[in-house]
Amino acid sequence: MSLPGGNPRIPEGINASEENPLLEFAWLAGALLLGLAAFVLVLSLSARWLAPFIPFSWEQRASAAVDVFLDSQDVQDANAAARAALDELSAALLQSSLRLPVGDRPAAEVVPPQAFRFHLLSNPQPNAFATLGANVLVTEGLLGHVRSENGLAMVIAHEIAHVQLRHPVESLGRGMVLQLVFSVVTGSTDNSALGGALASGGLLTLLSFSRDMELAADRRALALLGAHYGHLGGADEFFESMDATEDGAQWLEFVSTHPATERRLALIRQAMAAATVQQPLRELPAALQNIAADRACSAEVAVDDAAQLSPGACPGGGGNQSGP
Amino acid sequence: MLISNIEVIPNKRVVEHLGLVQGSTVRAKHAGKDIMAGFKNIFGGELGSYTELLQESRDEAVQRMQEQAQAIGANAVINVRFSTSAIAAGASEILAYGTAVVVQDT
Amino acid sequence: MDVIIQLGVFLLLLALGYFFGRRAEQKHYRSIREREDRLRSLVVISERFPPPELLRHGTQLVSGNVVVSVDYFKTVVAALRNLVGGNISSYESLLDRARREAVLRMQEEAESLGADAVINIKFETSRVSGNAGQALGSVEVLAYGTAMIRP
Repeated sequence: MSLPGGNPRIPEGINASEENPLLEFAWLAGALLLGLAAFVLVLSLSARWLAPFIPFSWEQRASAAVDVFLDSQDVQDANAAARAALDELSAALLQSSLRLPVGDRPAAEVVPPQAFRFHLLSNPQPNAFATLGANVLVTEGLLGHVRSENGLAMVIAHEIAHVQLRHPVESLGRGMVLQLVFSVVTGSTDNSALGGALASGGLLTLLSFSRDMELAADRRALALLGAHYGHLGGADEFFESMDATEDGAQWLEFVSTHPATERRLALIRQAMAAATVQQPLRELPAALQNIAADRACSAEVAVDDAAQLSPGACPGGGGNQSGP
Repeated sequence: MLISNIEVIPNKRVVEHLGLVQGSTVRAKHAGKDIMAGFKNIFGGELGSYTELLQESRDEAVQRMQEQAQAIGANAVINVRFSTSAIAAGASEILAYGTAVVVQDT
Repeated sequence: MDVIIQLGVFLLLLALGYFFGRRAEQKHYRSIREREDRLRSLVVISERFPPPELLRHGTQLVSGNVVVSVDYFKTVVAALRNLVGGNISSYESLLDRARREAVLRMQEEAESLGADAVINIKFETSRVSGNAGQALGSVEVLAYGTAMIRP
């Protein structure tokens, strides 16, 4: 029992591992990201499953913020006649859409037709979108890209289809999941992630639809067009015009979340070819025609036929009269 | 290896002191068990998962202490002490330390 | 946009934490090894009774303490590890350093008293308040024992 000569020389690496901590970090972060990805996937799949069963009244409650936004931002400042014309056309389409069931349920039961609200935005960008609370928005800029009522009807039918297929709810659910996950990951203590998104109107961009949703909406829109007009003439107008306008930036916004325009155009043309009956297209309602001509000129879109629709209709050199 | 928390071991004689050895570990349970433990806090009772966690940590700490002792040529660690401290939520540190010695049968 | 800024700040802190934390750790380990070598002859054991050769020595309580702080990178790794479970090796090296440093400081105090050995060493580890959150902010390690001073 004697005192040692000195403290022992104990090898390193027993109590503290000498492994590079970056390696551990990479492992953990990788595992966590994989887990998160699986979690998001499962939740977004379940969003797709659940969306059709969520009562529309719930969606309306969530959309109160959107309605306020649409009203407050003075987005309905287009002239009254044009709005009335759009409403009339949309209402007619909506009426026809009730004949087409969604899944195995009648369309009127999924989303009550009186809930739909159509807005005409005085925005020069060609764009149209559907968002929560059965709000369908069409920009004036879009009117410059269609030649006939049928062409416009196709776009509106597409947005009606989105609403009836409950895509806004599905994508809201997906967006919420992503936000939730993000706020967990970044440790953000802001619990009102959803509230913030709803309030800021960022919701309009939050709701991006997946390619599958777009194609499903296209299919339903074609069916609706067939049911309404008895033929599919003009269904490809907008896409053709978009396709011709190779100046990307202008329409990127609309197309970015959409599947390649050519692919959709191909689907539409295929459907048109299958429906052999071709009938003359209807003209745009007069109130919309004026705007269409304005926009076609101001956007300097090189779509030859757009100018023919109302020859010499470009007022005041370029006529850049976006509504005040 | 002989691990003991007394200094004089019956029937054995310490022939050489080698010095202090220690083993420590910090461990955590996965998040699921943390959540379950949170629920358990409402009803009371034994937190099985944490009991297990601390026991595992203690084993690991003793294991490391033994490794150190072996590395310096000891065949026993006497006067072993444990110290536990919660250093972060859901993670605790266990330290085991003692004197590494060489013992012989008398 | 906010999101990108947040993410950027996070990654920057992570990189800073890793870079400076690792450098500090390596430097600390180097200094620990150097001083351990220097103080190797000042024996530290955990026995309660002085060995026969020290029976005439004087006694005096000596202690050494150190508070070490965790870097951001270690916190993040530990938080990730907390989800998965298992050994939090990033904290282990922190505590290993802290403990050895505490022993060294205790030895230094004993050396200044002219001691030959420190017996009955004990450790105490505690979380230092000031980190309000759940994660480890800084931790104190105290080592204390009885110095056997040459008569």
